[in-house]
Amino acid sequence: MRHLLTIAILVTVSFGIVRTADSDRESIIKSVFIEKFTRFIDWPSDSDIENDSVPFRIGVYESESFYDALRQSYSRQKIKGKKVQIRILKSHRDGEKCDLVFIGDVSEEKLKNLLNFLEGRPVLTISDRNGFSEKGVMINFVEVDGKIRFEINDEAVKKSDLIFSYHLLKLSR
Amino acid sequence: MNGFKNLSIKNKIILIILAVTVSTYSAASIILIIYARAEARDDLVKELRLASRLTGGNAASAIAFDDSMAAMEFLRSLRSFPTVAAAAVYDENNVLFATYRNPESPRVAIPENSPIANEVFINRKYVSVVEPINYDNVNYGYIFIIADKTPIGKKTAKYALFTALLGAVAFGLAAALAALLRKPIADPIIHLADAAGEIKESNDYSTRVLKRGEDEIGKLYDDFNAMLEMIEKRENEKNAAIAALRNSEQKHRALFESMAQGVVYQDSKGSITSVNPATEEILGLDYGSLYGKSLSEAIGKAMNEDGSNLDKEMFPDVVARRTGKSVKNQILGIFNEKTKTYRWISANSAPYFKTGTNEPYQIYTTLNDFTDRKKAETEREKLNKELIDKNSELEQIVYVASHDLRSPLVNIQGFSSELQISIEETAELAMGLDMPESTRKELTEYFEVDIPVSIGYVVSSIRRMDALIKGLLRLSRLGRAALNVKELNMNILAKDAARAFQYLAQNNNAELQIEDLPNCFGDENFVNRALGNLIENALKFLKPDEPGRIVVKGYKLDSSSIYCVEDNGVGIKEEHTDKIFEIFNRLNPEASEGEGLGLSVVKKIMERLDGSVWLESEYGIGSKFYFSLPNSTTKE
Repeated sequence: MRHLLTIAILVTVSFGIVRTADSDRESIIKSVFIEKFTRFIDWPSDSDIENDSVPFRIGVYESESFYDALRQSYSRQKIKGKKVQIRILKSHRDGEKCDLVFIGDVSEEKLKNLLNFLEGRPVLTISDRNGFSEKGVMINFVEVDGKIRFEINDEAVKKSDLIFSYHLLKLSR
Repeated sequence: MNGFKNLSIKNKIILIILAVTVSTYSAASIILIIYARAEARDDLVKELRLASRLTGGNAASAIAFDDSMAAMEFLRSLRSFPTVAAAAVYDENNVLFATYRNPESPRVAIPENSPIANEVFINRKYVSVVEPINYDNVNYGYIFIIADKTPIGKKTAKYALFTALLGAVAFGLAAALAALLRKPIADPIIHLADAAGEIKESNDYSTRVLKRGEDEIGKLYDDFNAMLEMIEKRENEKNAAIAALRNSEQKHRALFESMAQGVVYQDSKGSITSVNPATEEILGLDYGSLYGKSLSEAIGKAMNEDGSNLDKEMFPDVVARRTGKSVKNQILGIFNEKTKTYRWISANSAPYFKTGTNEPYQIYTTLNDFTDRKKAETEREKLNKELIDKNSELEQIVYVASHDLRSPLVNIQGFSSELQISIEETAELAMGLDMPESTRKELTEYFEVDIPVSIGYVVSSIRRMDALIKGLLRLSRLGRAALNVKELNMNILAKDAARAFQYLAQNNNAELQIEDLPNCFGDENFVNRALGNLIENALKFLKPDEPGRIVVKGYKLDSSSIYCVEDNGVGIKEEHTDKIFEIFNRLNPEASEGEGLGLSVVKKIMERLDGSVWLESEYGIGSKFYFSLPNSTTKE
């Protein structure tokens, strides 16, 4: 069943690639990657991740385009076996009720406020801006030889209660 | 296998031990090598699976994030497994995602699509495994590893070499042990075989083998010895039996050859197979003319006891063969061709049967020639008859004579008395007459001395003569009187007799004693008289100057009761003992009274009662008169 589901997703993704522009395609791949990251990451058991009535909450901070890509990808697709709820964060405080926050094109100050706010909380932070990894985002998408790869900030990961799989760490730049 | 049968026991044992060792060792070695090979293969497969899981696990995220470069990098870690010739990772759609080739290995084909997961493929040179790549229960694809198979072969070869070396050592050890261990089994058997061989050569069954242990071979030795003992015993018994048989045969042969009785053997058909010399003599025929014939065929003329012709079918051998029963004491007269006389024969024929058969296989006939005996018997019968006739004639004469003699004697007696009276009267008359004194004196001499003396002699002679005649009459009556034989109580009879002599005994100063006597069979009057005569006889011959003692005693001996009248009288000289039973014999006529017939009467009575009388006496000491009578009615 899982295989079929995976195939269905891939098919959907392929159609998406064919129909949309490059940036859209990139966003779709990244949004798919997000689900894959969660496979290799464990949230603490005292967080809401274990509570099935609470959906997997993704907050998008300052990135309309990625919000759309996520909405497209996770209208039916589940993450960690749960329905996916996607919303746009107005302020960094909105990140409190999220399991994952995608950080878009934000100012350095906003980024700092957000990261400070989320520090110690079981919230995975992902971005796709050069240099954000060094600034404290856990996973940051980068492009290598025309392919989407990612980098991981070990320090940031260690500060959080999230546990990253060795498999994921190995693939990072 | 025949070759093995003929091997000596020690070589058999060595061969068996070696065969067992080699076969078990070989089997064990083969199993070990097969096992080692399987294990080496399993080890290799396990190693490959481990390698693929390790590598595959790493590849999960690479596939997830579509990073084939990373996957290749992970695959490169397989370099640490030099046997791995190549490897590949396939995505979840079985599409080749990343590959690895060992630069040291020859190029091997990598399938475009993933082979079936969890399968192990083995061909002549390579082993390959396919493992799924899973992470957290999600399948990401498959990893394929193909490796050189040579480690299996190498390991197997190592084991084979090792077992071969070990086998060589084991074989050597087994050979050495077999050579040592065969001794306790093979040696006793070889020893036994040698002993048996020696006994066969020497026939000496007194030999025994000495056992060395209590195992089955020890038991075999015991049994062998027991068998020898039995054979020895049988051999001895057989030899003794042969000797006894030979001895018996010799005796039998000597008897057969020398016996007076004729012996004839006939076979089942009645043909004579053997005769002894006596048969030839009796029949007047030699063996040649008897052989192969029956007796009836061989004998010319034969008759029955009554003189009638003997039918051929009634010959004893023919009857015995026909009836299957013995013929006993058949009397035949057979004409002897040599002496030209009839021989009287008593024949016995007996058929002999083998157990379970009805037809005799042999007839055995004995011929007893009693011609001479028959002649003698006839002669004796004739003489006996003459004797009896003479005896009765004699008794008649004695009776008649004595009876007839008594009448004149009575006359003589009567007239003698008359004569005496007449002479007395005559004497009276004569004495009254006148006559010269000389004449008177002479006459007185006649009448008073000479005539009375003469008449006295006449009277006493007459009396004696009368007694004699009476005795003779009694004696002759003894031979003729009817007997009334019955069982007699001799105690009563003897006491009655003794009472009759009591007065006489007292007068003779004698004691008469009767002891306990056994019964007997006889005529009461006769026995009474015989016993009375003996007691009277004893009283008559007591010593005049010594108190007499007469004892009657008796005892049983076999079928006779024997009685004895014992006295302490004068006894009888040995030369007279035969005479005293004769008629009119008195040893001392002057010293005793009686007619001298007492003991003759006793003898006669005993003869008539089937008894006998005899005496033992010692002159001057006493006599013992014995008589015996039957103590049962059955006569011998």
